[in-house]
Amino acid sequence: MKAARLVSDDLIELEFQSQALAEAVAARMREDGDWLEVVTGINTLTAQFDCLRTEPEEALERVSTLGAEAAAPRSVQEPFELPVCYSTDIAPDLAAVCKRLDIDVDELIRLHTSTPHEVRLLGFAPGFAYVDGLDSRLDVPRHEVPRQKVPAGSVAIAGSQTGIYSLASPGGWQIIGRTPVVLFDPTASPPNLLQPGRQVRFRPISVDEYEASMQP
Amino acid sequence: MSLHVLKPGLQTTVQGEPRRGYRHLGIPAAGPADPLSLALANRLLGNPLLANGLEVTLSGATFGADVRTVIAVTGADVDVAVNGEARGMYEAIEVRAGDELRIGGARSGARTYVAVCGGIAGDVVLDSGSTYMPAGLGGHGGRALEFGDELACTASDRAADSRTPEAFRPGREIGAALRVCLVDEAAGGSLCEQQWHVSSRADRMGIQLDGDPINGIDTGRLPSVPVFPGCVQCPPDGAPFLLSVDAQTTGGYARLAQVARADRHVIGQLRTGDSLRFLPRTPGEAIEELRQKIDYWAEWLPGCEAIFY
Repeated sequence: MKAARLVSDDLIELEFQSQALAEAVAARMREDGDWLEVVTGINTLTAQFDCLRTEPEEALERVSTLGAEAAAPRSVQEPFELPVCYSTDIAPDLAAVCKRLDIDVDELIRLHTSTPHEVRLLGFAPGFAYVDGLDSRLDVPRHEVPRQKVPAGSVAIAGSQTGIYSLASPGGWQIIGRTPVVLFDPTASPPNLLQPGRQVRFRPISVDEYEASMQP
Repeated sequence: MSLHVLKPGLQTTVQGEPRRGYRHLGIPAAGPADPLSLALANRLLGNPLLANGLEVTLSGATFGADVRTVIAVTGADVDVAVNGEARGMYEAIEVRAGDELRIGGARSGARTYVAVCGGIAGDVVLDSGSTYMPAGLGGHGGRALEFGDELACTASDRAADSRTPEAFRPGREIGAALRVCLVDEAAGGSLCEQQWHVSSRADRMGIQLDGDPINGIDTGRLPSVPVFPGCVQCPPDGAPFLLSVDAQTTGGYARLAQVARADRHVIGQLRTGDSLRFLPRTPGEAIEELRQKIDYWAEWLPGCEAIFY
């Protein structure tokens, strides 16, 4: 563990050298059962504790103990192939992103689909997947003002990551495509199709294929 | 046996115990935006403090009863009428089969709570009956109520004779003050220096604040971190927003401050135009003030530590 600090009266934030270690400590803390919420970020973890029962100093001590106990696990699975339609018809930021990066759409598709990516974490909204492995040539910032509604299935980029919106929600990432795949089903267990650590390969599909997949 | 919806209003949802422990799957807790008010309503009926009730937003709503029961109305300041006859907030009200219960528009505050003796049935999804609309979870089909919806509840012959003591009826000050712990000392400090106003973008996810832009905010390339209700985030344009009860679980904009546990319930009553200040506290001070608040409320609401979350 690199650092631990108190963010507020009932939130502790931990920083780690790797995501695998953050996930391992998070899993250990959830087993521990004494934490209200344990949520990982990018190489970070935030835990909510009941500050009426546990003093912040005690909580900090406890996380360092749990942090020392956890070991980073590794599992290997086939990459999940996710079809994505990269078209200016359904991806509102695709044209502007290409212009900003001074590349054409085909080059963007090539850069986004040629190598596997990896789901880093779920968050922001149910099933929203932060996905690592974005080619550094596709580095664009978030929108300064987030959109009030991003459609479900949107595939977007910001900084060094791809984000997949499984449900319609507000959001500030640059939308470059859309997938017809349902990523969040509250009746399924677990409700999220993609889990942290899972490799993902984006497969380009045409607008026709996209629309055909959306038929009930 | 049920209440049925005659006028659903702007947004009326079933809310009760929050859906705790699922934020790592991207699933917010939901539950009442103002749990204190829901607890006060349930208290008058002998229900568990966070039994499912109805959260009525701003415009009011009208319900028909098919059963004899007792209800209570708390939260945002409204007129209450049964069959056109005025009734009070903060008191148990008898309704009979065939009665019409009307909740008027809110004069101040944003959300009114209607509790029913024995609670209201809700779809239980991931351990909670609370409605989370963005994902269609819980409550009544995961959505806001519509005309004709039937809300199952049980008949009760409980006497309608309880009232909330005056000392335990929350006032609705025009200007709210929220105690915060600073996440970013400099930008969080700037946040606390001015008075803010609630903009027209205010819902269960969050509240955009109007005021002078905060300078020196990080660019839009920060790695995403977990966020919680009560977090004040700020995009590079310097216009902060305050996350509310349905807040997303992670965010990539700069975090300025975190509303202390003691004051998070206040967020649910903020409405467009309200003024708002943030008061800086250390975590230790915030916990001490939480204990004081609980000591006060426990006299009328035993177990109230569970509603300040």
